[in-house]
Amino acid sequence: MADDIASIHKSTASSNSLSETDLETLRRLLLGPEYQSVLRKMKTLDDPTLLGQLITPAVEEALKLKGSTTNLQQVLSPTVVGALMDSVSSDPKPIADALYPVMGPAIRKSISATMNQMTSNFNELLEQSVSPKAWRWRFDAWRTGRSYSEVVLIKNLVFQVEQVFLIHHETGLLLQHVLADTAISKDPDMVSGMLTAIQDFTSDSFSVEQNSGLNSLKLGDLTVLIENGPHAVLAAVVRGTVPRDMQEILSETIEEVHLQEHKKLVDYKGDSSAFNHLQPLLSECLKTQLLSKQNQDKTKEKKPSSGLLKYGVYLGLSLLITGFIYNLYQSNLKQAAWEKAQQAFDSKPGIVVTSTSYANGKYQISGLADPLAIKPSKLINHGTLNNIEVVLAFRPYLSLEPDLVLKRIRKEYDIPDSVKLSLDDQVLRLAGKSTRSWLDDFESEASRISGVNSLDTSKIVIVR
Amino acid sequence: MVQKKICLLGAFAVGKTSLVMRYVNSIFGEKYHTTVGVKIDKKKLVSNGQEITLMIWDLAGQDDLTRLRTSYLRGVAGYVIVADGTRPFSLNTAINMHKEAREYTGDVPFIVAINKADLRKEQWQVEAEQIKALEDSGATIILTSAKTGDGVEETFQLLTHNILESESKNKPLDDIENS
Repeated sequence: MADDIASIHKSTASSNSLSETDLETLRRLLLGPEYQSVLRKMKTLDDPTLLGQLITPAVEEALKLKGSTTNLQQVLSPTVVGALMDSVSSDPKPIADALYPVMGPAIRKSISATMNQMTSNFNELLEQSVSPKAWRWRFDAWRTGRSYSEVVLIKNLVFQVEQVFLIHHETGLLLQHVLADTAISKDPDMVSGMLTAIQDFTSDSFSVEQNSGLNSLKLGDLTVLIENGPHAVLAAVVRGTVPRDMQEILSETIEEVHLQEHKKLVDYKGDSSAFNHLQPLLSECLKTQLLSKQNQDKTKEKKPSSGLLKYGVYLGLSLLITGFIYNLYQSNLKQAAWEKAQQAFDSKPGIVVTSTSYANGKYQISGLADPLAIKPSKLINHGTLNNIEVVLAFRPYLSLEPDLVLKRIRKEYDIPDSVKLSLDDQVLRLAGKSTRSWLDDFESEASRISGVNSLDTSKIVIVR
Repeated sequence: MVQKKICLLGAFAVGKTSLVMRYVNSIFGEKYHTTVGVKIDKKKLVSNGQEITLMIWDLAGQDDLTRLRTSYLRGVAGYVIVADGTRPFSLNTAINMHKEAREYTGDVPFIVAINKADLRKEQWQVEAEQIKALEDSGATIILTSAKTGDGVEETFQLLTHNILESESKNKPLDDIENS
């Protein structure tokens, strides 16, 4: 303390204003023993590193307390989200890597859930696969060139038309509204207005053809189908798979509306009760098709004549098939007969078949026949013909087959009964009894017989 | 139940939406202004002994006249042009919009609403002479305040009344034309 006072005196002696040491001393006097710690604290506040060290335990404490009073999560949430977005936009890889272990199981879970659903669907489909309906679907699939499963899926689609709006084109005001029993509708007046506004917005914002409008809006499993007429617009809200003919049904309905109410539409001043009688017409559009064991199908009544037509078509078809089968049977029989006929000519001595043909409903066998062979016409007996007609075209030739040579010999030469002939390998063997003179005559003739090279008379016994 | 389509037009931030917010049913939020450019509201009232439902097409505010969404004006039975009493330029915009709108809507009833009437004492900038001049030219001016609600019901009532009146005036002509 004495030193301090001494230094004060010293400094005041040198200058009028308080020097640094004077101030230092003053501070010490004012703040007392806490001076040092206060100084330290002030230094800490200025220095970020030191400040960080000070605050860190406090932050940890605060986070531990997160459940109690502060809504730390809510407060931090925007910051965290923002940070994530920044991270992803600058480089998605770290976040992707971090999420990777999470995404795998999540995706697998989702897939298995979908597969289960599909399996149960397919089980149902398989159960149906042997029903007559299923055969019809197969026929449809073949006819239209689609796969069977595609056809089945289409036939089993689930959809419901929840509501139908009839909207005045000019003003966007709602003319009529029909709602399906199980559906919920939010203020249809405003929805109609907004729908009209959206159509206008679309045609204003994008260059489109004149008089074109929106046809459909899709969001998830909800589709809004829109049919634009010159004075009124029909919009149908469909949940599920939209059947192909839906747009057509809407088309026809809106045309009907224009047909019936053209004048009222043009002069419309806001009184929608004028169109109440259109309710039944619009209700026809509220179709539903549900997937169930019985496959309830509440579609529009088909016209009676088309049912009859269907019946007629099926009858005709079955007749055709029967006729076809009968034809097949007949041609099988014919084919068998033809083959049998051809076989009759196999290996017949003196007959050679050069060609067989079937043209213009006629069967023809052409060939060569030795005059001494069996007549070809005799080979085909009518029993085997079975109402096929066979034309035979055989030309004569000379056969050197043993049977025929022998026949020829017997015919041309006077062979006594006592002589037996046999021909084998072009050697004519004679056996039995004959006179010398006949034998000599025959021997001299024998050389001229075609088909005979040598004569064997060893078995002949000469008699008188 | 008769329905009529009416539009709200006006420059940016004149208070159109605030004007109607308390007096209408709305299922569509503000974002529709920026996305589609229009927000649909509904108001039921009784006029000339009839129950009328007004479908109010609240058009997004524009300062640029040339981009007035004319398709949204199609089939409108009447409209309200809103200006901001604290911004005299908005009144000029309103007048110009009115002229443009007229080309599409034809001769339908309209009301000019000068909004923010609650600020008449402090920030009001529109001169009484301007208002008088407009009235003289045939416009109906109503001073409104979305904050206090002054003049809002009156605006819609008057507009509806005028619409019904003009229709009954035209009706005999239509009948004659059609017979």
